[in-house]
Amino acid sequence: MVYYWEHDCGWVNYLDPYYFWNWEGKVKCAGCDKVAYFKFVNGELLEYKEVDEEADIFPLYADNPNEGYVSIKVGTEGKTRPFRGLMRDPKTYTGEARTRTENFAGKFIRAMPNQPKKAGFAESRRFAWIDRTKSIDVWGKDNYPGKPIYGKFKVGEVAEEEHVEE
Amino acid sequence: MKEEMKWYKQEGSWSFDPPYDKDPETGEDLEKIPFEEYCKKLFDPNKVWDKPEALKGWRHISATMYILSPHVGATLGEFGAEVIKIELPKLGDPMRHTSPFNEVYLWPETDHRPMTGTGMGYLHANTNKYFVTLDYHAPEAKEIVYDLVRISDSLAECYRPGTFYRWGIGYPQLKEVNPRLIYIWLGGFGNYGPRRYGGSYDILGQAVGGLAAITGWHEDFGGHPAKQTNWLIDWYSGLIGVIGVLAAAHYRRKTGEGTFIDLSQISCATRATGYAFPLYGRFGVVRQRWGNWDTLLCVHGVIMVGKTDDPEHPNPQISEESRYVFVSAFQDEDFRELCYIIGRPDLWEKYCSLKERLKPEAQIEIYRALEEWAADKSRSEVVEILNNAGLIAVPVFSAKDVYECDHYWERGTLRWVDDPIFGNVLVHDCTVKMSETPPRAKWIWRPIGADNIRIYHELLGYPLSKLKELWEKGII
Amino acid sequence: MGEEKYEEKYIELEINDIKDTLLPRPWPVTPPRKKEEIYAPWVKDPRDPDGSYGKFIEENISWEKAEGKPWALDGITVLDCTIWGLAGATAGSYLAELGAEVIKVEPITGDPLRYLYPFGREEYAFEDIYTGEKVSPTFIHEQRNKYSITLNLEHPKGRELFKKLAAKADIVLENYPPGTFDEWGIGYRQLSKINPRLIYVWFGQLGQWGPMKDKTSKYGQWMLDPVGMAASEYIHSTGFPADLLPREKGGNPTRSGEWIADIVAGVWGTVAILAALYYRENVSNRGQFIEVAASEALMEILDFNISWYAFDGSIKARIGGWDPNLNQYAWNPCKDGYMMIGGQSDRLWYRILQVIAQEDPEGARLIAEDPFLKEMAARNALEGLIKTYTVTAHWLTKNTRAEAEVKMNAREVAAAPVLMIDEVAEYEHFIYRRHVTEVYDEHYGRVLIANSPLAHQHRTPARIKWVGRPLGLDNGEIFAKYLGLGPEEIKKLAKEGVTTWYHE
Repeated sequence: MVYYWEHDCGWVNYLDPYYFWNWEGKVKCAGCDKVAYFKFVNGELLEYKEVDEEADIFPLYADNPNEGYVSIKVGTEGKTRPFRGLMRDPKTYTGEARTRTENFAGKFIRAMPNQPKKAGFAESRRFAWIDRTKSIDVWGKDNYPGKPIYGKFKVGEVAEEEHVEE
Repeated sequence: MKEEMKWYKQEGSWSFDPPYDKDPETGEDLEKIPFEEYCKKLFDPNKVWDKPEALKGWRHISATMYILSPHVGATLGEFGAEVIKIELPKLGDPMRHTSPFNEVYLWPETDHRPMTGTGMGYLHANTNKYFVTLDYHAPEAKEIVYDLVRISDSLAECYRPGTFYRWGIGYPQLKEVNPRLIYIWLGGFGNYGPRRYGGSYDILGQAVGGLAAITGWHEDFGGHPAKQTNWLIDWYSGLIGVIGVLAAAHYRRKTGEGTFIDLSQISCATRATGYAFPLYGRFGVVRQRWGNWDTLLCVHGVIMVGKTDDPEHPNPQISEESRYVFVSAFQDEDFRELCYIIGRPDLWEKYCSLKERLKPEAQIEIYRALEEWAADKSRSEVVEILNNAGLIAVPVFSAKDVYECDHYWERGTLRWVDDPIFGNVLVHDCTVKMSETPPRAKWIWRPIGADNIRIYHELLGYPLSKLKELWEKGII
Repeated sequence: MGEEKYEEKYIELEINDIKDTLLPRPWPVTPPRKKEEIYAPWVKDPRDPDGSYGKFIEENISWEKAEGKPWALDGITVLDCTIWGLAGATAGSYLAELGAEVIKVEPITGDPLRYLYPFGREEYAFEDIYTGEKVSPTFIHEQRNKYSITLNLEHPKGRELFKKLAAKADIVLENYPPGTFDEWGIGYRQLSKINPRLIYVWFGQLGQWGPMKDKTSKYGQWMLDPVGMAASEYIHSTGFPADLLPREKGGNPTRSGEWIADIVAGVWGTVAILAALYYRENVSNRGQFIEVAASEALMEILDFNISWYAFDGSIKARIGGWDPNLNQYAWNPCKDGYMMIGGQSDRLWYRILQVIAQEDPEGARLIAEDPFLKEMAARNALEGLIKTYTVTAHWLTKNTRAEAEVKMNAREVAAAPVLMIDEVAEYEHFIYRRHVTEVYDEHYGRVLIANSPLAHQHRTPARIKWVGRPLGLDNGEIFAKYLGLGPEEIKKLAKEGVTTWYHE
């Protein structure tokens, strides 16, 4: 067993396979802060008990299927552990959209629409807030739900409540 | 000899006749100058564009997707062939929609995905190609492919075995259309055999081919098999495909016969496992993973040092991960010197021959000692100490280190391409340095169907009205 | 009962020494199925309704039909002077498999690679049946179809002979430290005068010119492969991140198990050689100087890593068996090893999910319902990878590789196990296609060896004639063929230390 479901609080903590494949220790639930002792051998959960001690480690990521998959993202303080093998500055993973990209030669490469902060990791979810049920015919029209607004914000500024997920 | 060979000298070419006595521009005597200067003159990246192209006149059709098979066309294109890439209308190559963590896209937008451009994944596998669209499923498509094949030299495809045959454009049919055609199929499991229909990716080739079994840390250290980064086997197998095409071209020059090449990328991965199979077949010993160390030489491995050069940098790849050094001192004198530098002469006394050093226990002890010694030093310190002592040590470069390395810029390996559509993009170019016909990158890629008119109208001579009709039917 | 018997057997073996366990393996242990058996379902297959394509391929492309077909590079002569590294050896063996006459020119003591045994264990040596001369399996793997001659290039007479050989050769491969051959008077500058049609290739790690060119240590030790891997950022982006596997367990940048930069450089070199050959034959009638640096060759095929850094300062990090570009596209641990599952388009992605849902509906629901994972491209975010692979690996804990492979392949998902070397040799499909093949060699006997990927062709398939030659075996033949020297003269030269005489 590699992930586990805290039935009381409804949060699912994802214990990533490689780290926890052969592992023994205490993990804290990101949702309800309960600590449990785990022993995995070859991916099989051999022992599991709830304990009243400090946790050794946090999970990387957790979400709650009962509340529309609201999630606790990687590197949330006190909840999930950070992922240090990032490709870029940690800053850029925390929801600051970069609307304008310039390359190292200083030339303008591309721009992208503003997006709400709650979209999460910058640029990594930019489709999530477009209504996926709409077909290409709908996107092609001038006004569709969630259409990005160009030019209304300054560079770096983020539209907070403009595009709400349906 | 000089007189005889005049006839092949190309107009406007910088290259000069053998014997290579003098620089054609400065008149400098090439006999006398130091070897390095001579190489600089011969391989000068500034002269690349003055030189001819090796495969000029070769026409290649790239009916391909992903990395493996497009790389055949891209390599031929870099060497000067005219490469026509056929994509499905609207969607294009799926690789256009692939980008690391879904972040890096270049404009312009495609009409399929209003929010995205073409992803970085498409880079380098589609250099110098002309992009046309064609829906092979349509009955009209067959004749179009025949028309293209009639005037082409080679074709690469990657669809599952027999798919092209079913559409009437497989090798048995095309060889009737153009008997000189060199047809190469690239994929995972090949065109025949029990698992011929299995789909394949690069990582699958690494996994089944045996390369995964020998890369990474041994399970005794708690390690798992590591993936060779970046679709390595796709790229590498694509190159082997180019070898197949060019060797067939050499044969075709003599006989006029085309060929069919059935290239399995898994086989390519298997070919890169070194002594693993001879060792297993003769002695029943199954080669295992051995992490960052070498099974043939010691000391010849990557060690972790105490800290990075820039621990304050916001990017963790620079502040935390750039702390590895490759150290090589496998000959006795080098190893002795290394042991004295790290203050462990006892190691030299204990392991004074390569055979002794190579034993697994010895390797563990030696590399542990090296890491202990380096624990309070930064990466550049370690490299400096060892290089000053005349030993070989190279830092493990990150992309930043490569980008900032003068060596690659001076040699023309890294180059900004000022693409007319996409702006400045960094490419690695001139991979192999050739004195007469160096490969070069002209453009990185173009939008889907950008060259439809150039190829269908200007090359094949289809009237524009026909193109319009095909476009309306959704065939191009 | 069974256990006792097993123990008895074990004792009978009497393993007193490591040599007692080093026994040749029969190959193949399980022969592949017959052609009729494999192709029986083909006839009914909608992909090839009348079976004509399968028939065509089997009759024309199969390795079994390769016998008697012509060689693509027939008549091309290659002098392979490379020692130590694998780059030149690889280029030479690719050319040799395609029919070129590749002559390995070795120092009189032999290529040091001949004596590099895995972990220094000399018991892993292959012995010449006639003389008992030992050679390492590393060396033998890349010496297929090559002739071996010995020539002491440090001796002026050796250089003279080499010049005469080069005058008749088409291609010269070398990988000595920059400028060595030039100093000896047998570099491109000098040879191109003797033979303007010569294609001369230098292989190295960083290059023979430029600020960071190849160096030797102060005791003369060469730069060898992982230099190319380290300097091209390949090592930096290979391996597990410390977040997915602690550093002490191998969460480090990892080099490839094989000298992959050398192998890639060899392949790039072969491509360049064939392009130069095409240009020589069709246009210019003269050769050229080619330089292949392993770091650059490997960098070229590290797709967008450097371009990405220049794009926005991102540095490709290592991510273990996963891939930041595609989901799903990874191998993860399973019950008895590791299982690779791939399929990122919606069609394939949901097929994987259907398989998982059969046994782990809870886990499959977590993925299927999540609105964040609906979009193909959005699944590639780090969170998407963590979530998908955690659930997939959970399903894999209950499945062996073989079970998972069958279940996934039933839905036409590209899935395959991570195979150990012995399992690769025994995989039915590879035996059927001879990805690994057994060659009976005159000098080394039965050798299991990885076959050429170009072995399946209509006209000119690549083949392995022999796996390697003892040191200097072909001195007699090659010197007689190209230099007109008979055995007596060679023996005289051997006494002067210019070459060796195998039969002596």
